[in-house]
Amino acid sequence: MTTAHTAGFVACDRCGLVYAQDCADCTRCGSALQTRAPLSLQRTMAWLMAGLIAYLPANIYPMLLTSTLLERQESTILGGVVDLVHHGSFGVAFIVFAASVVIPVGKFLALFYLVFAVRRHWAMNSHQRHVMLEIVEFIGRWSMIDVFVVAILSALVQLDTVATINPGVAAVSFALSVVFTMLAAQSLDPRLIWDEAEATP
Amino acid sequence: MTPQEHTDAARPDAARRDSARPDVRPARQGLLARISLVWLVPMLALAISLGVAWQSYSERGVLIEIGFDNATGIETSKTQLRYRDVTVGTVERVTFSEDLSQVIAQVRVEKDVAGFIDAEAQFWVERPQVSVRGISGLGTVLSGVYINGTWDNVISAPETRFTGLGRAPLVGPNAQGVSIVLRARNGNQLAAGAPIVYKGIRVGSIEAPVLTPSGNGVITNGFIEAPYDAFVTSATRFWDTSGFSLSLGAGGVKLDVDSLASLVEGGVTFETLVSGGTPVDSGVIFPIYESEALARNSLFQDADADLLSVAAQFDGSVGGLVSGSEVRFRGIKVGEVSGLTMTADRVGTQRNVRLLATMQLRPGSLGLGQDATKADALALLQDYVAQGLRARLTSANILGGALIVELVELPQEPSLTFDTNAKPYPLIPSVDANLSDFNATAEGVFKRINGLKVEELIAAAISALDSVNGLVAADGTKAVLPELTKTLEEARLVLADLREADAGAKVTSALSSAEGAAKAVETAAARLPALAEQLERLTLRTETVVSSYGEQSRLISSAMDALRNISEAADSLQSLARAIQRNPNSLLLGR
Repeated sequence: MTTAHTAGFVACDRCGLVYAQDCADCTRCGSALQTRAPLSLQRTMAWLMAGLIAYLPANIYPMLLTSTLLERQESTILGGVVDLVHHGSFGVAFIVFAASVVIPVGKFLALFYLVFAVRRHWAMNSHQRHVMLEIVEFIGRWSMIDVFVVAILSALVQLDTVATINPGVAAVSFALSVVFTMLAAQSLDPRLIWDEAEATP
Repeated sequence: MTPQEHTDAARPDAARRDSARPDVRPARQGLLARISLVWLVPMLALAISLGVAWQSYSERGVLIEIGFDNATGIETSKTQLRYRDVTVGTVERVTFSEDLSQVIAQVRVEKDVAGFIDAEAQFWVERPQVSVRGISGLGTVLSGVYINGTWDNVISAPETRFTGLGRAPLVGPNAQGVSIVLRARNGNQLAAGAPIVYKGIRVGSIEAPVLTPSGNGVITNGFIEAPYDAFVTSATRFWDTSGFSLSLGAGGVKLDVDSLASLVEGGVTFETLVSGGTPVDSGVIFPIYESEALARNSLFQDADADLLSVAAQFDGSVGGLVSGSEVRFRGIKVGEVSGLTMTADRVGTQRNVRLLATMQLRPGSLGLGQDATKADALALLQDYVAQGLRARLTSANILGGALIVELVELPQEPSLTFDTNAKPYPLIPSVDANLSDFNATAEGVFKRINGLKVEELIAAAISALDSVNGLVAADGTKAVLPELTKTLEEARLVLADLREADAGAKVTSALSSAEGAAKAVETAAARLPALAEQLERLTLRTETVVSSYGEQSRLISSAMDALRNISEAADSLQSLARAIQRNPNSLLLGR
């Protein structure tokens, strides 16, 4: 299959206009022309590492600081899931677990796989890889569910001594982790995937 | 499809662009071409994470272990360690000691506080407590128990293994004051935490009493807070104030109740009875006397006290005077009788047996101060005797036959010399007892009591009650009831009429036409004279009813009052009626 790259063309990422490969800037919209995003894999890896580093404290430190009249409780993400299971709220427990553990971890694995597959020239169906990248990019924003829940709870439940909910350190680092992984997914130039498919017939 | 073929298809557009060829940027060279700047983000994140981790590790508190008998209420990672009510640590683990004899709470203490926790630190579990003195630790009912700690404010060799106390310690390491040991015959009047009171003010408290090793008494640690510790000297006596005491003596019946708390919980008070004591160090032992009197007496029983022995001779019987009887000077106890002996002597041809009472006087009590010596006291007595000081027997109180020795000043007596070198003791001249006076007085009191006309008083009371009974049972009283009922009935009718008129007024006020309202008011007002008349009739009737019944009764006077009120009401009703008839609008307009 012929690609623009192999044909000596470059398309503007923004407006889609096609140029010869040696052009630097799009004359129509002014954006920089590049056949492949430079250092795409490195940037993806870097964002991914940052996301991973932020994800650790997100799981170690408490997400919610709940102070009620009687006691003060700090709940981590997994601790909250376990509590929910103990209370029999399996549905909610599943949603929380999916949003804050399965999706982020899945994203990490998927992105790592894609980066390594591109770099090490692993054979794989490029269509499947594309679907994978699409899913990762789409699903990234849904991980913010946790952060939103924490934000809404802490905004609503401020009843002084009776009950107060405050966000913990984990809320911030979890949000950072989500942001970093979304950037990682965006940094991965999908064109690299089909380059790989070209190279390995 | 080859690349060349594809190029042909896309060429026209690309060619057009080629004519307006944009800049060609050379590929970036150097490090930036090969390494993305984004790597800075994970580096930074890693650095921050490691920094935070290192910081939290280095600032991690010190683990100390506190052993308790039980772990009631202690929860892992929830129960706090507090110092002056500020949280300085949290229980991390609760385990058993190796032999299961204790529960060990492992507490992570903040680093900046840990240095102060040395061997003298004390820990106890704060729980809600209800005692006579009040309720403490109520907050722990809701928040759960916490471990309270107290330690001094000097950094010293840290200690990590402690044994918790069963209850809050009496004295924290920071408390200023003096620790004393109190010894009592038994501990049933003393409870842990009972107050030490000085002139009604709580100045300290005692710990739980424990038996002495020999079992012949109890001792308890007491603590007197600064600045009150200055009141405790070597001359201080402690006595028990728990419960109440009822005494019958020369001063009459006396009921002593200290504070309610000490009534239930026990308490100790003290007084420095003579001046000049030396300040005490911590750990000094004081006995607790059973009463104030015993405490005061104890001053004269001190073995080390410098007592002055004197004697006095008395004629006649001294029955009632015993060893230990008081010697008073101007009503104050200055010593006591230490022995009684008979001496026989001869005055002319007559043989005479006299009683010799030896007395021990405390020089400090004679107003000479604590440092007074026997010689000072003797000199003082010498001067006093020259001025007419005499020893005299008197009754201790009006009811008993007990005697005391009183040193009285009788200026009319001839001036005598006080032989300070007499044997066996210096002799204070005596005068005859004035016992008869006392007996006479007592007799007089009894006579007067006998003279009280108690029976007559009771008889008068009975007859008064009788007449009240008769009044109630009288026919007239009974007959007045139906009449009163009838009157009330009439009154009710009148009220109903009044209400009707009032209702009419209300209805008319709702009418929009002022004229119509005025008219209605007029009709209502027209009934008022009739009402007034009715009231007057009622008054008359009541008057006759009441006047038919005695004149002097209180019932009459109050009834008359009521009647006056009723007729006044009738009068004002009549004037109101007249006013309304003249100007019906006044009701509506309020003028």
